[in-house]
Amino acid sequence: MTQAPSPVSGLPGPPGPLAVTPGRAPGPAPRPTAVPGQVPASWQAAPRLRRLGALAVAVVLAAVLTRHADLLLLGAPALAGLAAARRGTRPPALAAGATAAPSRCFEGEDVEIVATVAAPLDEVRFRVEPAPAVTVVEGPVTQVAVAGQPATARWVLRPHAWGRHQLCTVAARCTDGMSQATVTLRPGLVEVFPHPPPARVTLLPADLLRRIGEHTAAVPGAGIEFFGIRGYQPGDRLRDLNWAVTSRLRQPHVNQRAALRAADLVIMVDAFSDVGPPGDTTVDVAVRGAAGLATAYLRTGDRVGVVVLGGVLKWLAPAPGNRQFFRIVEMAFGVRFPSEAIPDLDRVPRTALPPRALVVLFSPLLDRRALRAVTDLRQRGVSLVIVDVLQHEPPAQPRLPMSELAVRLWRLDRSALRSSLTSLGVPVLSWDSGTGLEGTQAPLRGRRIRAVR
Amino acid sequence: MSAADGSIRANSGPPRLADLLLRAATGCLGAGMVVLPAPELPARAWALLPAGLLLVAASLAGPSAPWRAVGTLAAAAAVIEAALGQPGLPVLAAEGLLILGYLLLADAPRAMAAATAVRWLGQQLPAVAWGTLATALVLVVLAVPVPVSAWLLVAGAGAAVAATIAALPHRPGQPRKPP
Repeated sequence: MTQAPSPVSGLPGPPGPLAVTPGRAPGPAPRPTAVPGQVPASWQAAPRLRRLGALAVAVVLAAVLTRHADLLLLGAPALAGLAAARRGTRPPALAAGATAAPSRCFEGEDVEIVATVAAPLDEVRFRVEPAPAVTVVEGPVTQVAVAGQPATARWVLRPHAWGRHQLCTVAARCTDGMSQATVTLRPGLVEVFPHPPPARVTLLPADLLRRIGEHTAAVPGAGIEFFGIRGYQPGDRLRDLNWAVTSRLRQPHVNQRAALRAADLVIMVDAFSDVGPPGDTTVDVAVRGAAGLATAYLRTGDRVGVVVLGGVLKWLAPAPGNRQFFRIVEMAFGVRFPSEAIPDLDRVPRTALPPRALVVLFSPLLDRRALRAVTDLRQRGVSLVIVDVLQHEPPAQPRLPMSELAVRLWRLDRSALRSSLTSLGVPVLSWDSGTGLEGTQAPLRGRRIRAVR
Repeated sequence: MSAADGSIRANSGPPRLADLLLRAATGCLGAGMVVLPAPELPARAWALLPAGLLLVAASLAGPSAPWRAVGTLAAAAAVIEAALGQPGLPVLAAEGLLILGYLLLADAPRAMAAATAVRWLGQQLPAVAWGTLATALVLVVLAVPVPVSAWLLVAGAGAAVAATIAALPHRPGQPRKPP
């Protein structure tokens, strides 16, 4: 399967009709150029000055202590080197900057970082410090430019975690004569969208909307799927006559088709707990799963909304269209907001959480507030599916014998929790982010999710 | 999980050829400055030789390579060797030039491209030229038989202090407030 261009960066992005070709002229993307600004610089003595100075002092001390004037020959070259060196210009501020391009991309796409120091210096050493969950894929980490060369360094970074964040910082150590200053350059924020995993529209509520869609409803209508046979009534089309039944019963009978209806999907993201390694935390996985489901359902013309359970309760009413995908992921950028507050789902308006919507909750099932939200949702009478996004168990300390027992108890506790939820009629699915959502959805394929109060 | 933890992949390759050559040259100069005064060393000071070589090696590779003090200590070991052994003037002159070359090269940035390394070496040429000239001048002065004078030592110390003060950076002065 070929990958369509990403809607945000022009690079290969997620498959599917959501990937809209950007309205940009074909051809290679222009190279980003860092617009230098004035960065304050604090100048210090260069290491070479300290070295040569220390050597000169050591030589003079040795000459004095040993009363051997010939030893001054050892320090003469160093002193001459010191005297010949320029003091340097030492401007109070350096014209320097760093840029990141493109400013929007998907996880796993490349971002080019360019750092520039536009000042006449003897030597500039650039060193990039990538943020967590960011990989340097091109360019040496340390790059050097000397006088006569453009003081520019370039790297290609690859973010592995969604969010609006700074991919790196660049430390530029500027040496001019016997002076040295280190400035820290910070490229602009980059919006990294979660890469949606492959998903299918297999989770459907038992009661579909009255809006025309692509899902087979349990009522007769003008669809494609066979629904039943009934006696002929005036107005029925002749092409719907079931000739076999008609000839057997000697009464005209027609085939009935099932109606095609749309569905509302509300994705809930549990942001109360965020555990796991950087780039693969439970919130990371939950938002990726939300992006995958949203892509799949929006592709079929369904309406998708989102509710973020966190310190600040946020929601987005269900809506169709490609633009909704970007609204959802942009809202997800602000989910990492640690708080002890308990969300009140009653504050979510009816339009954001429609009664007949299918609600998919991505949660690690670690926080009691999320379980309380599940109870609220059941009382609202929505069809609910929980996707467990916890992938890493708490590590057991091998030196502590009770630690292994504690982990076993923790496993039993989680198993009991999942069993109790399932017995209440709430399906609980486990999803490993290394795979697509299709396998996770497989147990519920062909089954409609009913609301259980 | 593959490379999703802030890892650095591009720098994990083999070092560049220019970097290797620079390090090799630095090692040769460092070994030379430690070994040159060794024949004149008294027997009880022979421990300085392996110590100096170890310091030179540590300044080039290993976990202590980024510490600039290691290279300075290696040069100090060579100075102590020369002070204890008291070799002749030609050996001292060569030793001084070796120390200067070693300290200059030990300050070279890592992972330079070949063109950048050539430019960087070109920038060091004035220091080497001035060092050679100063060595020749001091050698001539010392070759002339003069009695040992404390004034000469004081003048040398004063020159060292003056050179350091002249090269030290100064804070830019605060602009005067208008009356």
